[in-house]
Amino acid sequence: MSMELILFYVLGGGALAFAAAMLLPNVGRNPIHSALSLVGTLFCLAGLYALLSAHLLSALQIIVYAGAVMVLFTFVIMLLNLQPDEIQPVRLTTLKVAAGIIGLFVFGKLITAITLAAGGAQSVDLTPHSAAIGGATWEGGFNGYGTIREVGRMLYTTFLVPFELVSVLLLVAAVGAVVLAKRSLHYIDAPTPPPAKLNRLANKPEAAATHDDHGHH
Amino acid sequence: MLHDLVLTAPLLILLFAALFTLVVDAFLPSSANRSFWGYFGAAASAASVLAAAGLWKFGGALEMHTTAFSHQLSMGPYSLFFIALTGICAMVTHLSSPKYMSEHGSGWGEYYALLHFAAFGMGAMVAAESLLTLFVGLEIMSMAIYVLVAIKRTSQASVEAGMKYFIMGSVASAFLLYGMAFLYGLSGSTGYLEISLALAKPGVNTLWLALAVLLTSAAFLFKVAAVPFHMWTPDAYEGAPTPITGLMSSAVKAAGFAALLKFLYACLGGPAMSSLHAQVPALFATIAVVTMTVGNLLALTQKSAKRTLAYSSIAHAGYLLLGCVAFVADPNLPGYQQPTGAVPFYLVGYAFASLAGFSALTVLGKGGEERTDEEQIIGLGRNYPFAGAVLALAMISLAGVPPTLGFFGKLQLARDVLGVEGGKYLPYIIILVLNSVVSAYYYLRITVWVYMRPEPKQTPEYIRETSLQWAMGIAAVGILLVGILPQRALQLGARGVASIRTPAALQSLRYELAKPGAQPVAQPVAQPVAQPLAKAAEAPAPVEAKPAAEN
Repeated sequence: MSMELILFYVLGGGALAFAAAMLLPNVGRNPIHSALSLVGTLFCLAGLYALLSAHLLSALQIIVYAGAVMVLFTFVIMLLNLQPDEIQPVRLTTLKVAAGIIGLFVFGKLITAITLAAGGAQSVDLTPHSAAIGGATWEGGFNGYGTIREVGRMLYTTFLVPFELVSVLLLVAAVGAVVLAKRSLHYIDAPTPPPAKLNRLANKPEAAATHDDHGHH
Repeated sequence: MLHDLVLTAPLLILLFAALFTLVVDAFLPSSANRSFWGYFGAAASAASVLAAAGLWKFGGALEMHTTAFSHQLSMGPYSLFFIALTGICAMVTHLSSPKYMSEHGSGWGEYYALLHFAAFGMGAMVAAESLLTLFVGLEIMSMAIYVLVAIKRTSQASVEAGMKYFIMGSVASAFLLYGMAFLYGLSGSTGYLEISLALAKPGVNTLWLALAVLLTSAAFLFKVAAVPFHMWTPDAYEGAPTPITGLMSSAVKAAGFAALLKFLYACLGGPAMSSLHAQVPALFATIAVVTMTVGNLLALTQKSAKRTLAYSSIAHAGYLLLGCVAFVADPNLPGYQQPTGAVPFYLVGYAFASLAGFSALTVLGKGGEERTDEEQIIGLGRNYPFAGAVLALAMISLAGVPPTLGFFGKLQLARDVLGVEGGKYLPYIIILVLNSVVSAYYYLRITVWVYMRPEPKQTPEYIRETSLQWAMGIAAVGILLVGILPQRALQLGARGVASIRTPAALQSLRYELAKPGAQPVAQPVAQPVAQPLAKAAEAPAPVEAKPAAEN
């Protein structure tokens, strides 16, 4: 049994165990415990990515998901401060059953596809020097595949435009969020004052509004 | 590199206009009047349109090939046509905004910057040659439009509309991504051309392909407000500021259809979908007739003109979807004709008519109020003759009364679709004709409100502003000009459609459809197509598999 296989079983089993712990009723009653189990799952997945030579993806998984996204989850959970008795028990609706059936169908199809792709081979060698998956040769193979260097090269050559466009998208989202959430509601040569019931939305009185143009710094 | 920048100039102008607006606006005193950004925005949009026209006219003479940045964007006639169209829509929206937006307390500099961003996103999604660029472009446009819909923050209707649009649009984006993932899984690539070639090989799983087509089409159908996905339309159109409603029903719709057609034609069309050729045209035709019928019937029952036009935009999405049938038809059947410029032409007509209609309704937004019911419109023809005339012209054009643009557009659509499968879709065209007869009722009802009702006792106040009058004027001239000279616009549209980079069009160049049995990923599909720049270093050329030491 190679080291890789042992690691695979440890990480895969860990991911499944944490995922189960996230949903189990006695753990899941406290949302923070569920969130922590999710962090465990994400870490195990990051390890699996590293085993698949996707080094960058593995690092991003930890930085973005286990780091940023989970902090946000925890923040929201603590903000809501749900008490155990407020959490409704899970009820099965037709929609949920249908979603489950479709999920199982896709899962089954994925298993079939993976089995087919493996070509019935006894084991699939995924070490970097191998370029063969299920009989299909991939020119270029795993030469540097998944490393930061290789991903960076792709991002700045072939996929330069989508990459740069994503930065425009983030800018648009940031500008939009600021406009909708932080812009003070003073009126630019408005003939009528704002409706009274909405005055509470304005975060400053009229006199101070001129200095509040770009939100709080 | 310079070549890429020159080719994408129409888009870069919009991007830099947006950044300029954002940065300069931050340094203006907050009490300053922001109306000049409307004129600046119109000028920048006009510059973008001119750049697109210049590329169209001189790009060929300079022997420029049409794709930029490693085939992520194509700036051929098709993209330029729609970039110019959305640019004109953005220009009219900029001009109709200043007074209305400041009366409604939202005339911030960011508003104009977001308009530029929206136009930029539309250009990117129309020019996209790969799924990634398409998706990111679509999201840039959508994000900007979500915010613009909700920008009247003191109006509950506006915020609610923005929220609805945002949530449902996000679900549609998820559909699109899911479908794209299936396409990538089936083809191993994100480029339209590569996908098309990979799907043309035998042995593609029909089930997954059908799922991919359904999921991606659903997302586009949401964007263009076709029937199973039209629920957001009336609320979003009514709640949004009227200039933005005009932009949504003209530019967003045009960009959505342009991207959908290109995607269907270049990525899934031709041999790629050969296993689905029996079903997909019928599916589109069915959705089309249901959409137009539902849109028209619901429009009949509306009281507000803005809401009526929202349902009318659903109906027009139906007419246009029928035109899409020609793009997904089986090219192997006898009597197959290439699709002509009918859909782009119809989009031009519809864009001008709805811009004229909504910019005329903008005059009713005086004093932060927003009501476009019968009482407000009555007397418009007498008290504000110009706005009344533009509104009436827009309604006549939308109704498709013969000498106008709407009539020629429907005629061309019908002609295009009749050619598919030996007139199989004749019943659908008859439904289209019946629908346009029904729609004449509610369009002409608005015209009657404008001119033929006794005037109320007190005259309502209107927004009277030079730039808004320019906006109405440009839209009205657009209707008349294209109505008088339809052939020219039709030719431009046809040239655009003919320039879409389909495998059939490119077969003679460098690509060849793979022989059966060839390995999917081993094909040199990542090579440049037409007139390649010597960019071997940039192309992800297949590297020999060598025993790698790095780990």
